[in-house]
Amino acid sequence: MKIRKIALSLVLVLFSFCSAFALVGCGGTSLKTLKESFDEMDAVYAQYSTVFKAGSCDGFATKYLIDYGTEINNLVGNNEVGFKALRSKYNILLSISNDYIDKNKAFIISFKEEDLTKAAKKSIKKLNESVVEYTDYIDEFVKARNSFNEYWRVHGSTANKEAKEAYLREFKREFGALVEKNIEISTNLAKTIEETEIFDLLKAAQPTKDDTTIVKEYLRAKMLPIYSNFLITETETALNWDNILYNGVQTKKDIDAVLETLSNNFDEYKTQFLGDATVQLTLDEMKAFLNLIDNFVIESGSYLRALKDLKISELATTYKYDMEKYLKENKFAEIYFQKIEQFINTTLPKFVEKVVDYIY
Amino acid sequence: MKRKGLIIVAILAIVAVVLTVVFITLFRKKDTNELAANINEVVALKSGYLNEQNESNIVIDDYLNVVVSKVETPGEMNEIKNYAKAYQAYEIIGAFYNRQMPFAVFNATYKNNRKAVERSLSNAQNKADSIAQYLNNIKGAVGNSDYWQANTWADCKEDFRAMFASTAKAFNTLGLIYQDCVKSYFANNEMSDAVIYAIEFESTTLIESATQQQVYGANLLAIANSYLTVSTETRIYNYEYASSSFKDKIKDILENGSSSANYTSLVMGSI
Repeated sequence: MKIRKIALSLVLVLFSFCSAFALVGCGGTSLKTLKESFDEMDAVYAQYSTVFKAGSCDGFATKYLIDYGTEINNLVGNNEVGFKALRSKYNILLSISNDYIDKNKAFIISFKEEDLTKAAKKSIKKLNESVVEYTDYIDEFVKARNSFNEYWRVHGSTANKEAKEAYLREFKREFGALVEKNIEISTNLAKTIEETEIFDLLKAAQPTKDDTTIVKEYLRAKMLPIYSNFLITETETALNWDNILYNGVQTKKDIDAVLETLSNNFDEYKTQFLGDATVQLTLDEMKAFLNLIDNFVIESGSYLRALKDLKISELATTYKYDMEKYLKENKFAEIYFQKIEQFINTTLPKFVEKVVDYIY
Repeated sequence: MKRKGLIIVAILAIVAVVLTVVFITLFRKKDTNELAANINEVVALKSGYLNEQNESNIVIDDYLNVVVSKVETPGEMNEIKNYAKAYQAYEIIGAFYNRQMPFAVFNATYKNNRKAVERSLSNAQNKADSIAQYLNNIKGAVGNSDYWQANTWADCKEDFRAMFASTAKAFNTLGLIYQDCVKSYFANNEMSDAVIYAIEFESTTLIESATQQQVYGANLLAIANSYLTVSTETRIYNYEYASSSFKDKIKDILENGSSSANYTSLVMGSI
């Protein structure tokens, strides 16, 4: 009898386990839920209308220009060291990403549930999760912004350089997290649009100028993580600023060199990609262009993976940029860095050049 | 009754184990890290025979450079020159694959060929270490002054042949894996196909005809330097943007192989 009870318990546990496994990942997200999440995001933005304002960020018209408070706005506007990046890097990335979300979310929401592919439904679930996560984070960011503003208002004229830099660093971490989460939305939105198979339709009939715009904006969004993940997430958000003590180390010099190349390419991206596409492509050109983008997205996937797996913050903080020691912990670290270099020095600039030829 | 209960428990335990194994197999992340780690060991670590700082590598390289002037027949001279250049070439080719394999995807080609590559590299490593040990023993026996007698070549040339045969086999199979598992068109396109073909052709010919001409090792090295170093692999990455006339030449090589009029210029890096 006791053995029977044990046996039955084992069966129950086993099948509960199997059922749990089967059920994990089940359950989609409806378009209605997604719309509600986007509406909630807009409502939170409206709630913080003193922080997110309409304006021009690096020449790009946006509804999401961050107001830091008068004193800090002046420092940003005057391109002060350390403050310039708040606009030229953080805010512009946020603005471009939000612009894509604003222009394209309606396209997804307008679909009928029954017309969605299985892949699109899976994508919508992920998209919704990223919208909710971002919306929840806006509060955190605004608190950080208010705290930063208040510190500067009270201590801006009297605090020492190190204290001010520490506050600026902390604010950049919070801002970096906001940008990262927002770009997660635009990336997931771009992926969802892909899964609607719209690009297959663009390969089937003569494209209009609007079609070129759709593709241009899709590409612009897909390129955002290429810049933000390295220029912000991996270096500024995750890193301890004490690493400036290791400026003479060769590995840091190598990383700095690649960062500079990427920054220059980001400037090129801002110059070339933020305007309207002026060219209407022929059908053959559209096919070739979409093919080029597909190939680039795959290669950029390798780059992003290499960046993530290199774990620059660990190399910098635990190993103080000593690559030889780090290789014992992360045996592919040099390979990851070589992939990053190859992508930034070769693949990315050639691609940008080609895209400009195609559509601008 | 007790016996029946024990049987039930045993059956349930077996079912649980089987299901656990099935779930683990299904949900385990399939990656290409194992092969990547193996290549990394052979190419990037000091223990690997394709690392120029490896002790066996240094001993072998030193030996080949000296013994070439000690042998008596043109055939032996050709063979040594071929191996000397091929060794340098495989270091570069290995480093190229080392950079790429962590980004390959797991599929049937990878699964079916991984062990073959690892076995071949292991055989080659063992041969390299064995040759180096033999040479060090000779050096220990006869001293440092001009101990590279011609008959040392007779004693170790079969091991050299085996080492390069295994290396060639490893990289030819790795070429197949690369073509099917590296999904980026920038890294894997008709240009890389042509380069992989040329490496396979020259490697195979080297093993079959090393004594006949001294060109095969040099060709391998020319290909490696022209397309597979960190700076020259840009030629593969930029193939997407090449002119249609250039792409036609590459297509011609893929269709006609070594009999293509463009093959020699591909090998020389002047295509």
